[in-house]
Amino acid sequence: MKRVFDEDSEKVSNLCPFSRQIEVYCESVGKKDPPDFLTEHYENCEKCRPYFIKYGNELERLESLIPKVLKEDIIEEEINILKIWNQFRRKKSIFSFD
Amino acid sequence: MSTKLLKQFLNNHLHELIGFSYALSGKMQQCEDIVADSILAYSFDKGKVTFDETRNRNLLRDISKLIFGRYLSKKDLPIEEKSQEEDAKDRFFLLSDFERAICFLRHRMSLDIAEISHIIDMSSYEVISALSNSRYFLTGSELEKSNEESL
Repeated sequence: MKRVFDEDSEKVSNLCPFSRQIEVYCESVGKKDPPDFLTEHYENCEKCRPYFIKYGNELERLESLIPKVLKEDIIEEEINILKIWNQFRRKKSIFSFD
Repeated sequence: MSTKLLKQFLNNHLHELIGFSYALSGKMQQCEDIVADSILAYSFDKGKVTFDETRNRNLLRDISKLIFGRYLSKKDLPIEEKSQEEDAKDRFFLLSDFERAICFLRHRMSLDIAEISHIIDMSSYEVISALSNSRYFLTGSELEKSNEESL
């Protein structure tokens, strides 16, 4: 049991402190607008670059699996919803006693 | 509220709302009705609604909550079991309703944890846990090999 703990602590102490920040950053804001210090770190730290790539790959894979609806594909739906909305407003103004 | 302002709101956010509805039900033909009903329900409930940019985020959050509530209340029973051998694209739909909703709200609508917990009615810890589980489920198995190679 002690041996496992020693191995873990050794593994953690060997990690660059930035590697945890990369994970937190990827989880919180995705890949949008990375802060300068992380971009610089990616360029300079050989130890951390694989982690950037790992989390980047994970995010890309994740995003590709989540359904995406494009604005161009729902123009008709937008028009229909506006029609329903106008009908609703008209009926509300006729039947409402406010 | 003027139609012009609603049009502006729909132009900016309708694809997110329809996407959210699709992420829950997996059926595109129902999404328009669900979103329209939710917008009307919101408007009816709140009385005079003003769609403006500063309030759009709250509006988006509240309408998403209605969409989620409506989906759960109308969900067909019994629950259909999906095969594990489905296409990788359909892997998303193997997640639970809550995990799908959380994943979509986080990664497609960029809502923060507090906003998601308001929509889903879960604590922040549960939302973070569900996000992490679903990320592992969606990306874990296939990426483990490639990551081992790159590390």
